Order: sequence, then structure tokens, then C-alpha cells
Amino acid sequence: MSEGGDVFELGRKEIYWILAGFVIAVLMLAFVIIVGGYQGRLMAVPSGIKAQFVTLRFFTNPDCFAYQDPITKRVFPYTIDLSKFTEKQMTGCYQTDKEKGYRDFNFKVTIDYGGMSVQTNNYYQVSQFSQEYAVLIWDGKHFIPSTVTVDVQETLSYIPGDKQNQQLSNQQLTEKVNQQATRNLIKARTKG
Amino acid sequence: MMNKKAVSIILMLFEIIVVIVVVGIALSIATRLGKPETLQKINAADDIAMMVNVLISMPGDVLVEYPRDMSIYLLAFSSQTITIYEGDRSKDVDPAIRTFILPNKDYAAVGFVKQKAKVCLQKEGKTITIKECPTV
Repeated sequence: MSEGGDVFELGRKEIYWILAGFVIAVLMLAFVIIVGGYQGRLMAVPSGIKAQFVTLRFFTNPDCFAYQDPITKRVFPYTIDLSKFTEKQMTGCYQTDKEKGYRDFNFKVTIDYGGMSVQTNNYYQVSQFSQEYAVLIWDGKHFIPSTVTVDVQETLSYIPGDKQNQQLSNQQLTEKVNQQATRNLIKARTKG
Repeated sequence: MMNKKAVSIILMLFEIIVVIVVVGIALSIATRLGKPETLQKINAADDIAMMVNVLISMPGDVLVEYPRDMSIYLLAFSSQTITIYEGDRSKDVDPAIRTFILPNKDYAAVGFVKQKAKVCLQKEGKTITIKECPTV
């Protein structure tokens, strides 16, 4: 072969190695992602269990909604103190990061008795599943059997809609529902 | 000009070396991700994050033992995360990190345990501490 042919041969090999290098890098990256993903899937904990462990605090921790006897300081598990059932209390109980908190669990807790509800700071009405709990409600005078529904919003990859407007409308909506629920309760008590 | 046959032999050797390196890297990644110590490290991080959530919901004080031998790990609470290193902090470039959310500023998760077989989580008031289990 001529000298020109040899040079062409070497140039072709270089192009081959540039392409091969790129393909090998992509394959290695894909391999890492696939194996890592497989490992993640094998070791994943069902989100229902994780959510249940987090929601436990709502009903058993006096810094959340659990009723605590003011004299004996005894905490009544699964007994909700209606006076604590506020957004402020929820913020002190479970607050996700302001910026990236939508990637964590967020909750909306609704008491069937009166239909009152509170939600965490990054709840965007994207409930993936719900959990129900039988509870007692302490209204200041009596223990009333009721049910609580916890709507769970799992990890979101993005915020649905405009964040600020959504948050504002969520809070307004919750306040409106709570006001209506309080009115219903007062009506029911007056009738009773 | 280099002999054409010599060039082709060098390129072939280079190809073989590349294949060996690529296979080696793939095997090392698979081994690192699949070895039992790594899996136990990830499991333990998940477990302890969930245990913290349960401890938060306990109204009283609690001492609970993590039921696995943790003698090759370093476990550390920082702010709202549990980090588990295999061996030493400097040797493990890929520690297992899990986050949890504490109720408010009064609550804290503190402490670290370095290579102890029995690891305990203790809740005293509003502080959760990770430490070596006390001998009975």
C-alpha cells in the first residue's frame, strides 16, 4: 500500500476510537444507572409504611394534635385535641423545606367529625393514597369517637401550577372549609 | 514510517487493554453495589430514619436497640439526617444518607457511634441520641 493509504488507515482508526470511546462511556453510564436503579428497587421500603410511621406523630405526640391532660400531663394516644387542630400546630409538628419540601411526604389530615382539615406546608392536593384511623376527638368537654383521613402526597418531581398562588389558594381553601366546619359544629351543638 | 503490521499489533493490544479496563470497571461497580455490607448499610439507614419517626411519636422516654451487628459502620446524626459510613468516614466515598423531619426547633437528633456491635437509639425529652447500647 502507498504512504497515503497508511495515513488514511491511521486516521480511520482514530475516528473509530473517538466513536468507541463515546459509546463505551455511554454504556458504562447506562450500566451504573441500571444497576443502581435495580438495587434501589430491590431495597425500596413501601411508601405506605414510611408514611404511616410519619403520620403516627399526629395522633400520639402532644406537640402535634394528641390530647394531653393539663393536670396529670398524661398523653392520650389517638385522641385529637380540637383546640390543637390548626395550621400553626401542624407547622410545629411537621414542616418540610420551603424550597424543596415538595420532594418529601406531605399530608392533609381531615377529621370526619365536622369535616375540619389541616395540611402541611407543601401539600398541593396531589394525594397519591389515603390512610384512615379511628380516633377520639376531645372537644374540651367530651371524647367523641370519629375517623381521621390522612391524604398522603408522596415525592413530587415538580410543583403543579404556580407555587405561591397554589399555596395561597390551598390555605384559603382550608380556612374556608374549617370556618364552615366550625359553623356546622356550633349549629349541631345548639340543636343538641 | 512505522511498519503497518507493528501498528496493527499495537492497536490490537490497545483494544485488549481497553476491553480489560472496561470489564474491570463494570465488575467493580457491580461488586460495590451488590456486596452485602453496602446493602446492610442502606437498609440500616432506612431503618434508623423510620425508627426516628416512630420515636418522635412516642410521648415518653425510650431506649431501643437496633437489632443488627453494626461493628463495621460509623453512624452519625446531623441536623435531620442519619449518615452511615462503611468503615471510616474518610474511606467511604458513598455513605448511606437518609433524612427525616423533626417536629420543631426544640427537637434534636444527635450523636455518633463508631464501629460498635450494639447500637441504641435513645429518646429523652425532645432529644434523640444514637449511642452504643449500655451493658446490662
